[in-house]
Amino acid sequence: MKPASYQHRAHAAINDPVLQRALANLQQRLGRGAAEGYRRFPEGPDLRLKGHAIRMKAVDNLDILLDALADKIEKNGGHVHFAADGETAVKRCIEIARKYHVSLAVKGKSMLAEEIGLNPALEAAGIETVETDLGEYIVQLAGEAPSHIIAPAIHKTREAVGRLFADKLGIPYTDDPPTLTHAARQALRKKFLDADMGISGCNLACAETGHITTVSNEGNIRMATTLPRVHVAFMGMERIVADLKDHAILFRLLAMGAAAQDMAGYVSYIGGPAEPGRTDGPEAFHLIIVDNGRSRILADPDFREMLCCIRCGACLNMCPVYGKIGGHAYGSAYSGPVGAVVTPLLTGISQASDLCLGESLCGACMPACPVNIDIPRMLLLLRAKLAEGDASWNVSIRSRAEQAAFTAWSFLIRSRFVYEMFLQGASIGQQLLPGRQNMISRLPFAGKGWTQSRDLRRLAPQSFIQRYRIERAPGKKR
Amino acid sequence: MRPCGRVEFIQHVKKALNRDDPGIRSLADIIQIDPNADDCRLLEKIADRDTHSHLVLLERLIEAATLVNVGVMVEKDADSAAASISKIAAEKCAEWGDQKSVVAWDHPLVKRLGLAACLRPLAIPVNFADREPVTADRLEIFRKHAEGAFIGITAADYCIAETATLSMKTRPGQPRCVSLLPSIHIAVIRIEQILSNLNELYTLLKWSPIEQAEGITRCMTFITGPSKTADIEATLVHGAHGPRELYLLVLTDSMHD
Repeated sequence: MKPASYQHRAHAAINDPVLQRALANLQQRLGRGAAEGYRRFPEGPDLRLKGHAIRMKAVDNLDILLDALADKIEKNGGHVHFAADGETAVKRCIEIARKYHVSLAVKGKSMLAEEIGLNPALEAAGIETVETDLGEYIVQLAGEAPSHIIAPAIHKTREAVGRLFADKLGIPYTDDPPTLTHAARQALRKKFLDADMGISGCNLACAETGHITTVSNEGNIRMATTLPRVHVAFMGMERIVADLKDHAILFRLLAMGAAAQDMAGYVSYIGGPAEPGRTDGPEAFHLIIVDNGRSRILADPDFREMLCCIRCGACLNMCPVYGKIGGHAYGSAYSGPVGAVVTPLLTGISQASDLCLGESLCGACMPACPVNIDIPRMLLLLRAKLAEGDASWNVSIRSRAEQAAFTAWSFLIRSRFVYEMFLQGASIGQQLLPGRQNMISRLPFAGKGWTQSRDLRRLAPQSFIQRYRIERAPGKKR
Repeated sequence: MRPCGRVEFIQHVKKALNRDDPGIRSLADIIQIDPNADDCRLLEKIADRDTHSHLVLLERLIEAATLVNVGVMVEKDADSAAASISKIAAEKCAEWGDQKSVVAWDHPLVKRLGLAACLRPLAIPVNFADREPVTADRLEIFRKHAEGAFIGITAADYCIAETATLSMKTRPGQPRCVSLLPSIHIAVIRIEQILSNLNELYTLLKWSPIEQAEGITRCMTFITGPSKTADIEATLVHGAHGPRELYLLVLTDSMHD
């Protein structure tokens, strides 16, 4: 990720009126809908805090929960694989596909699969992999990347989808969403029936019973996990809670955060392959539990809280930065506030520094989060690491010049005399800067970036302290 | 690349956790093992519901169902339920091929409806799932029936009034694809199967002795409304992949048994 490309992509998004309309519509609908939904909970909005406590308890006992889950799934005839990194996880999946002679795989949406680059690897191994969530299918046909966790094709208009389907599916052009959805239903039905393998993610496993869960509104994940001979599920190692009691709360929070719904359309608990002699369900079930940088987050008490995230996308729907620059600007599987924290932690804080520096620290993401994760705190902490460097996370000081400037500033403001000298100098110096009336339109040197898209107010002829001294001078009325 | 067998993986996680409480060693130290007073009260409340409270729940269910596009039909007995099904079967068109056909669970509540007889005048065949252990060829045949069917008829374990959510486990004769592949899904329940909210359902699943004995099974599904998507310009469309329509037939006759 090059620094210029984040800015370039963000700039392009801001100048795309179609995208701006779509993002505004999405945030208006889902963002506001979830906020109202939280207030409507019979237990009140504090249910989010309870959700946070449940998730934190799970993360704090992850070793025990994962052990219990694996035991039960294996007892039910399923296979559990553990992968330290993405590469190993992808390799396991290809091995499984080869073992069962898979040539066509149907896939439900999985953020983890995006993170570890599953699709290109499967395609390279000669396994046709079809995305089946409508949004993901559109994005895959167009050769693009998803731009929102829940609404992957939010950046595409109905006209663009119409042209895409006319081109790729050979249907007459239409911009009618029901007709387009029906065309995808027809095309994907054939894939579901022909597929040898179904791939899914895992929303939130249950250690007590030994099940993974999948959630969708379209029914595509049920299809992918019911019809093909083999089911392979990918699970980030933190996506688990202790028992059914915890699920009762978290599924309501998840549905509200993700789609402003009281309950998701389909929730499935899957605990292994179908029992022998049953009419349907897969013959084989493989669960791949992936670390890929998560244990490092777990080991740092400052960032462990981020593992509470259930990837619902609610923070995207409230974030003013995401609302302007959209998902593609982030250049990673995870966008918005969650991406701004998770991506640097998974891929390197220095490498993905733009993501956490680009957020505004306004704090809107925290009340939007169904499990009340303190994202602003962690954004600030990441920025501190970039400013001061941190050997334990391999972060070097991002800008020596910036550090020097702040050291100078700190010296300057600690002495009244020096500060007033500076102000006097600056108020003379500012007359040389371009601008109109009391605004400066362009700062020199390092200040250039500040005035690139906004003007700066000129220093007043008198500072507050100067006026205060004059107005409060003896003999003057208050 | 670090080794990644199960033992190494869990060991690595344990190290990262750096736990300060050595008392926690197994799942039993984390989860609640026995029902508490609240759980017991709720189980009793569910068991003690009378006709009136079932009717109140039914009212709430009908209200919630409208919001998620589930058509609720209150049926006084099996005959009237069967009549409702044949009315739907006569009105709706086949989607996957020209011939109308129905697949159904082998479940007492569904069997009671006498579907074959009531759909015969319409020349619509009904195929029931096998309850016995299914051989590969029977499996293939039922799959073909399910792929071509325009209506799938199931029962359900419970229905949640607050959100109009159906819950169903997998058992012999009750395949998952019947509620998934056909264009229209019709679920038949008795009024006593209606619960108030999700918490009641989870309390039963966790603490009811019958549910505990059976377990969650290999696949348990919650269904709320027909299949839907809003992936094109946030426009809601029904029938993305699963059923386009969902009907819930609530039998009230068992109340007077």
